[in-house]
Amino acid sequence: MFWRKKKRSLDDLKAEIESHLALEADQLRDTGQSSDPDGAARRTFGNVTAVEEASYEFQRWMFFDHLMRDFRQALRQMKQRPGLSAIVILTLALGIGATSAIFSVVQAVLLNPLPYKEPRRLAMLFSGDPASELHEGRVSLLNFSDWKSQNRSFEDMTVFNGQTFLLRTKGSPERMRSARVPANFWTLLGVQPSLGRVFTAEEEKRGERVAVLSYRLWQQQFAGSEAALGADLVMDDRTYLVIGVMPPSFRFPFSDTQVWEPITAHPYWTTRDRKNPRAEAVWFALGRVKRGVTVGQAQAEMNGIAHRLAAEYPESQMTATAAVVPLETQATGRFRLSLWLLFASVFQLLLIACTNVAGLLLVRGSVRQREFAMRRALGAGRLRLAGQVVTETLVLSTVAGLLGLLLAWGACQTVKAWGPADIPRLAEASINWPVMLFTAAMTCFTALFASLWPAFESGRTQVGSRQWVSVSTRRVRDFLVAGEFAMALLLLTSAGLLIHSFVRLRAVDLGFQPDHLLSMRIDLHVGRTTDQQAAYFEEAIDRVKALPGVRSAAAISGFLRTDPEDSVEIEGRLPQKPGPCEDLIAGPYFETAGIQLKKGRVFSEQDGRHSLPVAIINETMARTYWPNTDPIGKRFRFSSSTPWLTVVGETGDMRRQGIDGQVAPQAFLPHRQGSENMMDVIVRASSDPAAMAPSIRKTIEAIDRHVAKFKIATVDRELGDQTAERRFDTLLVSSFAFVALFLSAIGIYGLLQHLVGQRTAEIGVRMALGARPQIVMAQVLREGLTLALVGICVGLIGALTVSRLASKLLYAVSPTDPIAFGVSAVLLVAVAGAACWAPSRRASRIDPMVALRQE
Amino acid sequence: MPARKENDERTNLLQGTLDLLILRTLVLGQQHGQGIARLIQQQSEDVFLVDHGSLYLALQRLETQDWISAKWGVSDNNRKARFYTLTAKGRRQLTDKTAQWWRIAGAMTRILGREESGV
Repeated sequence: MFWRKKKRSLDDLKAEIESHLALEADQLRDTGQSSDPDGAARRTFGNVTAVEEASYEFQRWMFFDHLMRDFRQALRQMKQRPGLSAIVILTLALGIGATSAIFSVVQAVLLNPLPYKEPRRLAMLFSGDPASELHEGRVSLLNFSDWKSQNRSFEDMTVFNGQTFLLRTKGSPERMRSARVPANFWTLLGVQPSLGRVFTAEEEKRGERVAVLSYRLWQQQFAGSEAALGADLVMDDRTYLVIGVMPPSFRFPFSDTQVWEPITAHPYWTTRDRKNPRAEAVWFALGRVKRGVTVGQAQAEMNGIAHRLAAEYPESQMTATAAVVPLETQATGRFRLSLWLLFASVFQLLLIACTNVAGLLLVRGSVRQREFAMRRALGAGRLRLAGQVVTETLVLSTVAGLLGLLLAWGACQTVKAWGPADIPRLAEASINWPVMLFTAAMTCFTALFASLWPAFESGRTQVGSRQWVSVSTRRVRDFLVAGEFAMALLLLTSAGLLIHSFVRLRAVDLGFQPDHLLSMRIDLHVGRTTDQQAAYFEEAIDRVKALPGVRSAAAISGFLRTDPEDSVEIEGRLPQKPGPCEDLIAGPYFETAGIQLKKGRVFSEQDGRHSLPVAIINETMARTYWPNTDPIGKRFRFSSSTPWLTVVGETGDMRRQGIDGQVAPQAFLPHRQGSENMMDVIVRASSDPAAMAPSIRKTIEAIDRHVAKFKIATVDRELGDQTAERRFDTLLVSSFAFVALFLSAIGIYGLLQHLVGQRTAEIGVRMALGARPQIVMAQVLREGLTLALVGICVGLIGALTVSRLASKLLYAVSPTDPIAFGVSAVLLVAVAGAACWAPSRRASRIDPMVALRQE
Repeated sequence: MPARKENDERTNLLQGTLDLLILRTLVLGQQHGQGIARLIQQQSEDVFLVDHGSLYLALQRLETQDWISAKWGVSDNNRKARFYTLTAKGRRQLTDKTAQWWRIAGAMTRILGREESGV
């Protein structure tokens, strides 16, 4: 029962000793042995206080006793020096808060297991490398069924793809995305609906029109009512029976999936999918690896199967490899690196904050040397003194930790509101138990880290000697400040590299003018002839153009996104893969977008359905297929079943595959010669385009109320979304770097200010002996700047070695970019100089008389 | 506090014997601290001089281990005193420790006795 010590009050012991002394005196008196029985009794007993102390220590856990005492002492210290305590607490709170906030994001996005059964065994299966394949590694149904039947590594495999549909609502129809999945999709993932049920293998077999809704659609269409089960849902012209609702966290396979329907329920199943040849890769595959089989083994087997299939069906020209990518990697893919970069940066910031606090505590330690010497003289051991310093810091950092948690909560909300929308599961980031535990761990870590040296130094306090700052304390402080600068440089260069990338990205010539441009996607949907489609869009363009404030309007089949065609055949050559991107345009497209026509002509009224099929190509296409020749008048076609197209014009390149992507060869065809029911209408306004949106929307609705419109946005905004992730990373790392800059300035300022204070007398004597103020000032400046420079040099070496790791996050900037490195170093030197200025000035103004009198 | 360490060592040395002597003394009936000290001194024919400080620490230790119990009472000459009584657990302990002591003492005697005869 060692943990439960019986406690007996000190008074009780005192009373017992009193009674003992009385009894002893009585006895001595009785036997007449002593002339002073009371005194003799006391002498025989010995040191009463020592017994009381020993008894006290025996009864208590002295460790906790000391802890409590140190705790009270720490509170007194805080009250005594509120300014210093506030600085320490704020610095640490900032560090802890920022680190916890980023951790909450990292935890939600990267560390939390996916909400499926045994998510580690789930893997996506791609044909070829998904990053470089045109079809994002999709697979044909025929190949998939061979994969499924021939492999031994997977417990089960399923396929899915996305299909857009128009949902009939009370207002104008809305365009949404459904996922077409087989029944084993549910069992493979191991997920349950929160309401109703999912469909069965029988229903899949019969191709029944049943729908499982997303939580969001359920809320939106059925107001979250249970009456949704059994209700009808009209997708396009088909009526589905609602049978279940998924929980809000379930958003697989696409983050905007609103409905899951049996793969067989869609009309495409009979008209297209089952007839598709082996080469038609439109499906995504997901598998569950068997227990005990590694991803590597599954990968090896799948490669073998893909190789065999490619050899067996050479006419399909399939890739001979298959990629097995764990779902967790696939889900977070490109955000992994940037989130870890953010986490590393913010952790560095925390280290800088700790270093700063350690420096401040060392200063305070040297001020408190008299106190420590006194304590040692009274018998405090080294460990006790060190323990006291650690406890004091722990109290400060605990307050900072609580404050940091509050900051983290705010930061987390901000990141969720303003962070890039496409980071998966970002919305799930919150200050939950793991984050709180992390914060607590960080709090202890900061306390230990920040009090390591101060505690060590306090233990070395000499009792007898004069209290000067020891050489070793100086060295530690120098080391801390230099280290701080090294870390600050590391952060600054990361920020510099990202900022430089971002600037380069912004400066990219898009090939068109995005300002004052508005784009709106209009979907006519099925049921119109090609001529009706063309007529609709021409009317829409004419009506919009007639609006006041509109300079010009046009339409294109996809303004900011386009996919390359499978193949192209240039007249007189063999077909080649892949082909250029193909888009249909209507109206004065090049004029509206601000794309320059380089050669030839634009389309005219004469380019109709029955005239010569024509095309306008971009410079990249001209260069790729007809290098050093004039492409005008040349002919090409996409496949043997499509007509030959004659090139009539050549335009400048336009970056449509994302700002940071490569420009692809591009062919524009007149809408009147093709067929497309979904187009982006683009409008160039003479004033703010966002303000035009409502009147444009009204104009479009006036033509036909049942036409679905969606995604009305200014082009500037859409481009901004493309760079949102970069902007997010850059902004965060830059703000961390800024805070680091500020903290290291405080650090070096504090050190020098303290040094000058300590050496007032010495400087006074030197001034009295004739040292010029400039020389004194230069000396102090030199001392500070030397430390900063040493730190910066170490930081540069560090930055050069680690910056390569982040090279994937950079755009058109090398990881050893001299501009980023140079600017960071110069900036840091400048800040160090500015921070050293005031203390050195103070040194140069020391009045010898005043200084000497102080002694 | 370096002094404390030495103190502890001395107590440790005495601990076993002092505890045993206290328990033995209490077999005769309840007794207060001063009485215990006096009795030990008398019975040992003044060989043992009990350090009163150590005595009270030893009493506290024994009380914590539930070998003895204590309550305040009045002494023969009408003084308030804290009286200690042997518990059942303490009685068992006394038996064990006494047996152990005899074994040790016997062994010591045999060794020391032989050495003596060898001289």
